[in-house]
Amino acid sequence: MRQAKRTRFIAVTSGKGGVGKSTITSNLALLLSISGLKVAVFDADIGLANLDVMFNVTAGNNILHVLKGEAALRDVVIPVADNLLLIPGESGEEIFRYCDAGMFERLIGETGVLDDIDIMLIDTGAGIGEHTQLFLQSADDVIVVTVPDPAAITDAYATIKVTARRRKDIKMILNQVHSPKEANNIFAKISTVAKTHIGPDLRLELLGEMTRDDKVAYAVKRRSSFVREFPTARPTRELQAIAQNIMADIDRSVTVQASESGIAGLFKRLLEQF
Amino acid sequence: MARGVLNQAEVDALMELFGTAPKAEQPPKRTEGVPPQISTLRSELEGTARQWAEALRALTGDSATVTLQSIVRRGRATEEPGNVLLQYAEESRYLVVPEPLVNLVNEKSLGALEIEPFLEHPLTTIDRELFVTTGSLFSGGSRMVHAAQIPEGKHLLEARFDIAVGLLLQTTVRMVLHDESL
Repeated sequence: MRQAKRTRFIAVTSGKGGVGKSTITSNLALLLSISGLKVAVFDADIGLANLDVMFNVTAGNNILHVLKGEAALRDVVIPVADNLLLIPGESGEEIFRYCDAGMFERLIGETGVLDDIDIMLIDTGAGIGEHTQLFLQSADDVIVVTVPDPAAITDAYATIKVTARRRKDIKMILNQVHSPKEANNIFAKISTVAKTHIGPDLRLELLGEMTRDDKVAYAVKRRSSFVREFPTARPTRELQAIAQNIMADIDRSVTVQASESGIAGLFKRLLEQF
Repeated sequence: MARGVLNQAEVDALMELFGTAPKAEQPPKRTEGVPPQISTLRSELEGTARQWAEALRALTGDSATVTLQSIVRRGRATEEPGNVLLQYAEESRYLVVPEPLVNLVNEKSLGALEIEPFLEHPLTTIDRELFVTTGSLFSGGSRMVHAAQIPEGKHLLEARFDIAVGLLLQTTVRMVLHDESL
């Protein structure tokens, strides 16, 4: 059986749209790849798969075409930068329609191109939908992104609450905060409420925060990465710290069967959720 | 989205972050001299203003300020023949928002617009999307009436939402509620 690196699957989600989830995912992926890790980003944003837009690349076929047997995986994967691949997604509903054992076997045979992925970031749709939850339950890590406004926080909390029904380790990134102190205050409150109402065994962790900065919106508008446009800006440094936290958890020496790694590994996990 | 998942105690506890005391600890509001219908409507409209601010912040990723000016006066509205439920005037940029759209915003579905298309087309995209979405969703909401259908002598409660989303969008969303009791 072919061996491959063990891929760390990290789902990035949010309670509601517009909190910077995809911006963080794309820029985080870039930072991780620059550090030397092999990174893939799977665009699973239900109904709004748009990382190709954010990466400023053109996506033709997507994962759905692979699942339908209409395209090969290697033809779908888009090299975005050194060490960084994008796997364009499709709505979760469509993906799961074709997610079966036969599909998995077919995928296994095609995944050599993705065998050496260290980290796969899964950009999920916002909210507590069933399909989003499947991705969250399949990942090694779940990161909930939110911003400091009432609706975003209550929705992030709702996402945490629903996700916590099946997993107890959830991480958070506080985006667009005014200061680390604000991020810590918000996280402390969410954590306290969660411990009280969801359960004391929930392990909620603040992975980091990003302060509000117009440079981020500027880069998004230009369809470029703010970590590249503004390598010394505060949000870049903060995201670098988050990337460091993630990398501290990665052991690159471990190998597993190829079926456990890369996109095949992800779909194997998804299948196990059914 | 949070509705149905969170209980009131959780919401109250989270909202303490924003200086909002739990409902149980809030002093009763003075309602003396104010008809309960007006209090109710005013409360609803203020709530709607907050929801719009949150929704626009979610849409744009930018801070949104929604101010509410409640004006009780005789109805007067721009009208478009044949368009009973929506009124849109390019110059004054009025959009009358029916309740289903407010509900839609509450459900965060409009978050699907995300920041990217909005930034690419700061004015037209959001206007068109709001307009199309509103038109396709509205189906006989009970609280929205066309100004022309309101008989003379009746009153309107008009709430004007002046929405400024950074420098990208400055528009006015107007909600007109017909309340015969006023």
